[in-house]
Amino acid sequence: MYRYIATRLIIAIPTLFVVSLIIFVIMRILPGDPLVSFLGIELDQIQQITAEERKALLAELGMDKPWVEQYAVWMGGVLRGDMGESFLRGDSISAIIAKRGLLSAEIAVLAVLIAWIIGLPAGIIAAVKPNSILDGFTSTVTVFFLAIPGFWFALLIVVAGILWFGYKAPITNIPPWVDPWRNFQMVIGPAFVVGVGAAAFIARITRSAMFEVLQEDYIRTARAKGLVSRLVLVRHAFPNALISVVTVSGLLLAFSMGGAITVEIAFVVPGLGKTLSQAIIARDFLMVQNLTLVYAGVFILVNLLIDLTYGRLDPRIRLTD
Amino acid sequence: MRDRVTENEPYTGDDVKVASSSRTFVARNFTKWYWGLRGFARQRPVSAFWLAISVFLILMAISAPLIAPHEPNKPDFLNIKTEPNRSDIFGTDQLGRDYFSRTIFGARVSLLIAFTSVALGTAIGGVLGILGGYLGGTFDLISQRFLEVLMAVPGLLLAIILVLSMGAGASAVIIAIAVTRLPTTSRVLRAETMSIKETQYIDSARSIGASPLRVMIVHVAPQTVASFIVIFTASLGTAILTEASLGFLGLGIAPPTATWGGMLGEAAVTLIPDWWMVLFPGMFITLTVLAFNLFGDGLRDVLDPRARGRI
Amino acid sequence: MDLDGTRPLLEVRNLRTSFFGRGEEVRAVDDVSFSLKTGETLGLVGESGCGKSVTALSILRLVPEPQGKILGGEVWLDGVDLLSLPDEGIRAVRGSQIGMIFQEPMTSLNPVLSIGRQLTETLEIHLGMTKHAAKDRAAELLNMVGIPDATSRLLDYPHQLSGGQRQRVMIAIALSCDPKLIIADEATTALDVTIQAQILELLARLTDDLGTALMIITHNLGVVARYADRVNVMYAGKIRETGSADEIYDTPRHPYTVGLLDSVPRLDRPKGSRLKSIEGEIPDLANLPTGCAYRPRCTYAVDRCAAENPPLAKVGDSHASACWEWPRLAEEQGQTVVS
Repeated sequence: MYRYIATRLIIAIPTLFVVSLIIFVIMRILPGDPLVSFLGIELDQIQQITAEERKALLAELGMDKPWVEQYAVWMGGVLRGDMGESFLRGDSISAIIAKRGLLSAEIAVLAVLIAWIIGLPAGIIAAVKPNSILDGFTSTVTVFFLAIPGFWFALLIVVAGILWFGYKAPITNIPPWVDPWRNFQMVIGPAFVVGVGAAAFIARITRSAMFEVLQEDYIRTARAKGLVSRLVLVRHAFPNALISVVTVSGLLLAFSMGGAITVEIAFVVPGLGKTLSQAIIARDFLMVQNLTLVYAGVFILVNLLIDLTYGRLDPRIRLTD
Repeated sequence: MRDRVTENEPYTGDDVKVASSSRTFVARNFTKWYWGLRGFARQRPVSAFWLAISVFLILMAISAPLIAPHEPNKPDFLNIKTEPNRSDIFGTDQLGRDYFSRTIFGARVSLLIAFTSVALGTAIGGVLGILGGYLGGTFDLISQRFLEVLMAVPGLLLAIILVLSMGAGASAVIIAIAVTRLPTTSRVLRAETMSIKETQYIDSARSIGASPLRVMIVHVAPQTVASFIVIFTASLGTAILTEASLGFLGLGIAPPTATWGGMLGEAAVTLIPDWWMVLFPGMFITLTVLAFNLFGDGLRDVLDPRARGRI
Repeated sequence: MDLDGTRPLLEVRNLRTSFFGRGEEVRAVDDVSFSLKTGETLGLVGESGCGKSVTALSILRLVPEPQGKILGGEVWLDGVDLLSLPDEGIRAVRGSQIGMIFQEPMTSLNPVLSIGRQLTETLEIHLGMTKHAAKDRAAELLNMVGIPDATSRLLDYPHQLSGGQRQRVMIAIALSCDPKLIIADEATTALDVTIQAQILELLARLTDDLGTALMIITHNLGVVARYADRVNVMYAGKIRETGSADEIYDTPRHPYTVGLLDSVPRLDRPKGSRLKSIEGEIPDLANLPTGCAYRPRCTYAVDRCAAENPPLAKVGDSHASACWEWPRLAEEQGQTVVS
């Protein structure tokens, strides 16, 4: 087990570095003028910029130096906790991310809870009574939720809230310890939408995993021992199915992270998603770069945790060396 | 599909059939396709239904200029944000443009981008997968590592930074979405290639001196077609959602062209979004994704039932 | 069948189980009747697909639904008809009065539960033992089946054991609640030949010592010859011949049995004599021919065989055969027939 953990850890760190490299390179390979993309300067105005002005502008962007140096400056800062300054208002990027990140983190945790609490039982029940009305219902709902764009669902909720209840959620960033109720109101909408979408995914996977597991020989053995159906399901079938489900969680995570971004924007919640959107519109490329790094980092970390959980759940991995 | 493999075919050299023209190809295969379709409809009626819906949507998109009642991009400042009524069945948006027409035209963009990007992404991913699976060695090692790292960035984010760096526009979006399709496609086809590689069929072709390239093109690739089709249809839904998300974020095709994601993005900007501006584009996105997904499920069941848990 | 007075432990009467799919009915168990005495070892023999496993599953009502269904008959275990019991009733029988061992030791144990857990389960549920008592008993059981270092083995997981060891664990599980009957369905087929012998010896010895009845289901005549008291030969869902082991091996009186025996290498045959295989193939159970299902492959077939299916008729003391031509067969086999 230790070797398993160690291998995973050792791979994660360089992966993060390579990802940062890729992000860096992507943001610099521009089939156009950097001034156009990054400063949003109109094409016809580009001709009128003098060489000196150009140099000054590029220096401002920090882009006059060779790439290697730019990368080193950036990563050096990141490792020290300083991600540079936002083009928008010159605020420290790290500070912005920390503050808004809290809200997004809350949403994430809540969404995960909702997803598993709804998704797992739904999948299990559907598998246990295949082709029943319940199964058909779950299937339909699942398929439906997998097709709905999260941000559309979110918008519908916002519109419905306004039209039917005259309700609009608060939009200023307030940490939970200052005003838990307002904080909750902001967080619950996105968490629900993202959570339900993820629940659909989980239900589907759980159903097919349970289905497969229930065909296995050891389930027949369990029944031959005279165990009650519920015991067979819970103690024998489910743990095995769970292993399969956890394995696929990484995919779910990627899906959800992207979804969370647009959902936050739809709900007008001041989290990282909104920050990203504003940075995109304002062409604040340093912010985008850093945010992507943060997202990727979190993604790699959570995947690591998923791998470790998987290792823990499956005795075949837990108990080798 | 696997069943065809078990015989050792004598190598006669004319194993590469070249269609003299695409017309002949269609004509020759028409009966085959017709009966194949009928069989499919009988075995999987639900899925066939969704195929019909998909075709309907595609036709709608293609004939947009013919069926749209108004110009999709023409503003009408006298009629801003009007609710749906008899003459504007989907209402109008913040610039007074007819929402119904915009929605229909939006289908064009979304479907075009979806098909192109998925075709591009799965084609390249597929080639990478087959090459890696067949050749193994350093090439495989490097390409696999590269794709793994690519997967370390969540899909939408990757698309975002790609589009940002390439400048918003149709080709950027297409390339961005195509890139997000690379890892999955290549992984599945690589695994498939590796198991095909072990069959006797391949051995006999190689023993007669067929070059690796020939073996891959003529013998391996055709056997992966089933998986490929399954991945293709499964990816369409995701592509549409990604394109919509990009449009929503303002990274899609530039305005004033109507795209479903963009329309939702514009609707979201106002403090109190108007319900018709939110409802209709999203409805169409959902319908399209649903149609492709459910049709794809049925297709997968028929072509490659083993893949049920995989994709 | 005459049974010299003592009530049998298990009595199967007119059992019928079929599988349904694609508009066809496959009669896996077609009017099967037999009995088993306390402590007796019965061999249920036949090729794959003859219905022997389904018979065993039907006894415990483990036939996979909805494709399979027990259509009729009775299964009497010590005076109780298992087929008419409510769900809790049959669950109480499974694992405690009847223990079952399956063919695939590699996949018959749950990979995520420890060996100890899989043993103590039945003890806790059927015998109401406490965790502690159950653990002790589990260690005892592992010892009994020949697994050394029992107490620490309880914490192991199936993947840490070999195939033979896993099957021993299965035997321990089957024996755990001191059942009256153990059904071993091809229990050794998936094991190495040397291990097969060990496992069979173990099973035979334990059931002997404990007085447990044993039903060995197998296609391997050698196994049955060595360990069984009585033998039932099945073909295409029906029992074709039944008798004591001696009767079956010394004086087989059904063409199928003769065919089976002839296809097995035997030390008591002259050296250099050829093995005879049975011509033809196993019939499609969904489309059985009229009359005797064995007729297409039978060298003794006459016209009557195509018209009427022969019932089991007494051909010896405790010996019955379902064949119209058994006297002729017996004569040609060189047997002396005592009418």
